[in-house]
Amino acid sequence: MCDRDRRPARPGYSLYHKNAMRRLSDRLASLLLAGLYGLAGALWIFFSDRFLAAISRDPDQLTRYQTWKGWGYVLLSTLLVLGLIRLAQRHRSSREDEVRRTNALLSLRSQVAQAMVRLRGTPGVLDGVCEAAAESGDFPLVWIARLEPASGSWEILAHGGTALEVLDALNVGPDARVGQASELQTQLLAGRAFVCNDLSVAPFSAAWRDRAMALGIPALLALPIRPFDRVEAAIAFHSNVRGRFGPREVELFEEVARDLAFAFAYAAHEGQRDQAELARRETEARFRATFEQAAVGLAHVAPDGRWLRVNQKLCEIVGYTRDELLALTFQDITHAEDLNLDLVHIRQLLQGEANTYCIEKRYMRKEGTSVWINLTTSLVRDAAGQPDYFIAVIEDIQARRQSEDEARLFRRLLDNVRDGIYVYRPNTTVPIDVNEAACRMLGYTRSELCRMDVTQFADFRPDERRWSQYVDQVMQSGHSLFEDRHVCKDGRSMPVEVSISLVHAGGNPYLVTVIRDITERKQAERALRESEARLRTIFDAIADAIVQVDANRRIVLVNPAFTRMFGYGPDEVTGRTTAFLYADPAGFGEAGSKYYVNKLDIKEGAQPLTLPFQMQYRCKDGSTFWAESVGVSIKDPEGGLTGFLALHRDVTERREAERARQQSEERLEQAISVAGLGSFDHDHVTNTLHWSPRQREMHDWRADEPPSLPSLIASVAPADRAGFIEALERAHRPGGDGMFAIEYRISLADGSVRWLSARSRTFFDGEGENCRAVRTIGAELDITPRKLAEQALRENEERFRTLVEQASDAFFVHDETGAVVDANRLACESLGYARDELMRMSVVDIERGFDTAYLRDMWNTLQTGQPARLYGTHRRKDGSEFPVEISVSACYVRGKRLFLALVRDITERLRAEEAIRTLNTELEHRVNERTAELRAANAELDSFAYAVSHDLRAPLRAMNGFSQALVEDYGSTLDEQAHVYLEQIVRASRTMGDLIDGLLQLSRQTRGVLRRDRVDLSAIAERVLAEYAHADSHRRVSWQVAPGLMARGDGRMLEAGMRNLLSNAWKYTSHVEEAKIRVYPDSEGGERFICIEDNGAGFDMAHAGKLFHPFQRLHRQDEFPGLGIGLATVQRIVNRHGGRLRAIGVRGAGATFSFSLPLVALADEEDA
Amino acid sequence: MKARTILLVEDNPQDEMLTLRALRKVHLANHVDVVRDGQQALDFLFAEGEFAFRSGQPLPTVVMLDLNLPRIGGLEVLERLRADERTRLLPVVILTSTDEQRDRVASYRNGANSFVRKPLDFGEFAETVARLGVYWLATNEPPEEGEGGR
Repeated sequence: MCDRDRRPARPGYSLYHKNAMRRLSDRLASLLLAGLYGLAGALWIFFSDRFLAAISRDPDQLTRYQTWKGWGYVLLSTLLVLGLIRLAQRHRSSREDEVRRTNALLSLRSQVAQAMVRLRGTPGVLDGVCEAAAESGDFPLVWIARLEPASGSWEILAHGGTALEVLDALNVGPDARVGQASELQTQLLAGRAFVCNDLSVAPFSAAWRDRAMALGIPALLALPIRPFDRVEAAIAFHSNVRGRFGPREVELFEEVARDLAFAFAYAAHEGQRDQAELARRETEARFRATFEQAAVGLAHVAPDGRWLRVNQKLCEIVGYTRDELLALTFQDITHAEDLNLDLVHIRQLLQGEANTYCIEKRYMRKEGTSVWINLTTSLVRDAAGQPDYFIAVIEDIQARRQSEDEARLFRRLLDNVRDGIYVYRPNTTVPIDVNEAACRMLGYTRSELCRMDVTQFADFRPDERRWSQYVDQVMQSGHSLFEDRHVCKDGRSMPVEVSISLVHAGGNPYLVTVIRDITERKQAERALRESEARLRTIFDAIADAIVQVDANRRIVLVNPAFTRMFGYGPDEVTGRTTAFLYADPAGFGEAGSKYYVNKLDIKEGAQPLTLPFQMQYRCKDGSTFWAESVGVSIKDPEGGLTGFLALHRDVTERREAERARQQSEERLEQAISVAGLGSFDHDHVTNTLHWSPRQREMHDWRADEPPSLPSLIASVAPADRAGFIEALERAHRPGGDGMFAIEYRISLADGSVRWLSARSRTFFDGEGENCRAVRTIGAELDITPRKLAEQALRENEERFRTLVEQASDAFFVHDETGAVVDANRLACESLGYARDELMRMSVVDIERGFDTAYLRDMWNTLQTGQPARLYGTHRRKDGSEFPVEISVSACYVRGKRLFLALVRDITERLRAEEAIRTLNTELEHRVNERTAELRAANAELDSFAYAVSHDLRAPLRAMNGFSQALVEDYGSTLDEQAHVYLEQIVRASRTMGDLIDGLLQLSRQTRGVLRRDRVDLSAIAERVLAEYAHADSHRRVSWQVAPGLMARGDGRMLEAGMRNLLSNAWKYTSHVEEAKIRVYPDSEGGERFICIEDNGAGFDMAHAGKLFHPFQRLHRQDEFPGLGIGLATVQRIVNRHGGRLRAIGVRGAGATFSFSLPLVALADEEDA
Repeated sequence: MKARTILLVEDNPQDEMLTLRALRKVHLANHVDVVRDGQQALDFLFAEGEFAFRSGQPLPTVVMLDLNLPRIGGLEVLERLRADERTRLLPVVILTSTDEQRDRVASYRNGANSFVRKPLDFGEFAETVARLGVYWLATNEPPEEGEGGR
């Protein structure tokens, strides 16, 4: 192998060299043969002659022998020459054969080389090689196979020649593999040639061998092809000449194999180069595709800002085409506000201060809008380190920015709405977010609220599960709307409207709770209710019939007076048109067109009241009556007409009276014309009185009795007599006008009274002092019916007035200047003025907040129809003042503008409201008042406690200290008894210290201002018990705490109290195996108790009285250690809350301590 | 380094003895000056009145101040010390019998560096005082080393 490696590469050299050597050896062999022949001849002659001479007994015999020997020599020489010639000929022939074969091989090799060169790089090169080899070497079969390194088998790559059946016989068709013939395999894999010149004796499979022999190709030469000193392939030559492959052939074919190896190596190299090129092209294509199809914008940008290369996405982001964009710089499309920032970063990159930067900025799109992008830029430098270009990655974040902006916007919106909003996750009661308004409304900061449980500010009663009910409702229906109360940080309870909605965001459910402060609405509602109640009272109590009708004059509502007046019950008339109430059906139309018209059409001087009119109506029983009616149009808030309110006052009697008066006037006229009017004539000079018959009739004067002034005067009713005389005297007085006009009553003989109206004139004679009455002429009229009607009317008014007088509110009527026109009794009483005093006053004198201008404004305001509610201060006659609520409405009464003011003294109400609003303060205040003297005592106790803590401890410390110092310093000189005594001093001082601490604790835990918090006693109990269980983990204690025990009180004190009671329960159950503690509510006689029950040591009820005294204990120290201060503390705390503490115990079977907190009940009432 | 000293302001002679005894146990008794009321304490620290001779002497390293003192109370002493530029930074430890919250709060509000309640038990008391002495004299670094004296 090594030799072959060192062999010169020039092909054919060894062949020539060997020929020369062979020629030289042939020549030497010839010389040697000639020499040997000569030597053999000489030796023959010498020894044959001697032999013959020895055996010849005679010369003849010798001569004969000599002759025979000569003939024999000639014969032998001839045979030798013949043999030599024959040998030479054969040698020559074999030489020629060899040369021919060598030439053929060389030619083959040349053919092979040519084929390799000619067919280089083409797929058929190996086939060409095989064909050339088969043809030029006259081989029936030549094939080339590739070694499969993994399996060690061979794959036919190419073949030439005609004896393909051999391959078939091998069961290795042109595309199949050569079987693993062991010898062949071993030789080839070892890199050696396999030569077999006679297959019939070779160890091959019988099938192959038989086929090969049948085809007459018994010789095989197979050579490995080793392009990289590694067997990669093999070439095989099959020959039909047995012994065809001699060493020289083998050598020559090895050269061919080497050429092929070279060709393989070249091909492999070419293949690698092709693959590298292919890979490079693929990478380039992939990069190009990535660049183009990336979901983010990508660009190469020149240092001066020109776009060098942009991808499709970038074009889409900025809305330019690729060509347009490449003609621009990035500065051109950057938003003016963002450009400077970008340039600063670019400069840093160029100066090498940074490798990359990332900013959010805006591009201006082609159509002019801006788009937010996230830009990441890196600088690429060339080989010399100079800036080459930037790589920019541009990400469209418009949507994100927009949603961020929107989120901010929503946040701002959320914070700016007036309603409070919190957001919960379902199944939680602590909000994850609240808005500003919620914080404002409740007085907490956002972070406080976000840590608070909903039950802390939603004012739910302890035993209720309202929140979870609401939430259930929301989860079922998606929405819940209800009214409730919330507690603000300052303790104020506020009515709210709560709306809870289920909202899904980002796949998660949230409860969005919107609360609206409806304090004002509630107040307004209450005011409305009160006002309605008041109006309802008036409505029901008023003597006039009130009928409310809708716009179509169908009856909506009537009052009791209506029923009395018309005889119809409310149910009989509701919904009916009012036509049936009119005596004359035409009256319905007339009233409609004249009185119940839509007053809205009247632009100026609009008045809610119609002018009073009189109309005849019909009762249920068919009777008719006259009534004076007044109508008011009712408008909805938008000003549209919704109906009328009609007020009817029965004026039948008045009407009759008026008619009578009219008739009497008619009669007067008739009397005047036909002397129907009573007349009289008094001659003062003669003092004679003349009456007409009608006059006599009116006076029931007897015909036989002459009238005279004294008797006339005597007949005047006593009540009117003085006035009558006075009027008479005035009329008769000289210098006067002589006119006499009076209405008076006379008492008739039958005891009845008759009203008369007298009118006369007195004539005088003379002047000055001489002037005197001479004659009086007059007429008289019986006005009794009218007077009766008037009286009825007055009585009616009196009834009305009484109603007003007895109203619970003061009632003023005043005009627009403020002058009081009327006022009721209560108004007088409340202000301390007499009615006539009031009538002379102005409201400005009473209500300091009013002046004329204010009243004018108010008038204009009240024009709109709604009564106004005002709050003011009224001043009494004595100068004192009181707060009032004034309900003012305006009306026209006979064309005059009047205010009707209902005034209510709200001193009490304000006080009550104040009391409710500041219940807490008030209670505390009251407690403070009640305990004014106790406070002094408390202060004393405080200072005592302070002194105890400081002054009493010092001597104790001295006792303790010096005792111990004595032990330490002089212990050795003291005997045992002295040590015991000193120990007792130390122990006593310690005990005293503990007692002082207990006393201080009692004082400290129960003093200070009583606050009014919402306290969750259940939570406290759970927490405290969990603490104990943690600290006392070896004990087995089960407990049960009723949920939702809420109380109002001082949180700090109540916690201390609960802690004391629970600590007792814990302590006194320490000797029980299965300790049980229960906290639950109880009520007794309306009083609510919180009970703490245990199954511990209990106590004897006979000693219960001692329980609550400080330092009094029912157990020895060695049973249950303690100071005896806990229950005293609880007692004080409960007492301070105004509650009671009770203890029920059974010795050895447990104890129950219950306490009540009346403030809880108060709190609940207020909340309700 | 100048000598570090304690000023003990204590009106109760027994407490004074016990305190000094405790400090003696940790070999600090020689570093203690004792005054018995608030006025004396101020005079001592500002080198006035009966302590005028102290002018130029350095301030103590720490003042152990009782609250309940005759003439001028401990809280007022503390307030005045804090109001004066010379003693503004002087470490003051309140050592008192009370454990009233208001006293604690008032002390800290007035700038006390520490508030220690005198334990009733002598063992604890001695240990507390000794620890205080060692802490303030040896462990703690004062704001300025003896430069407060005038």
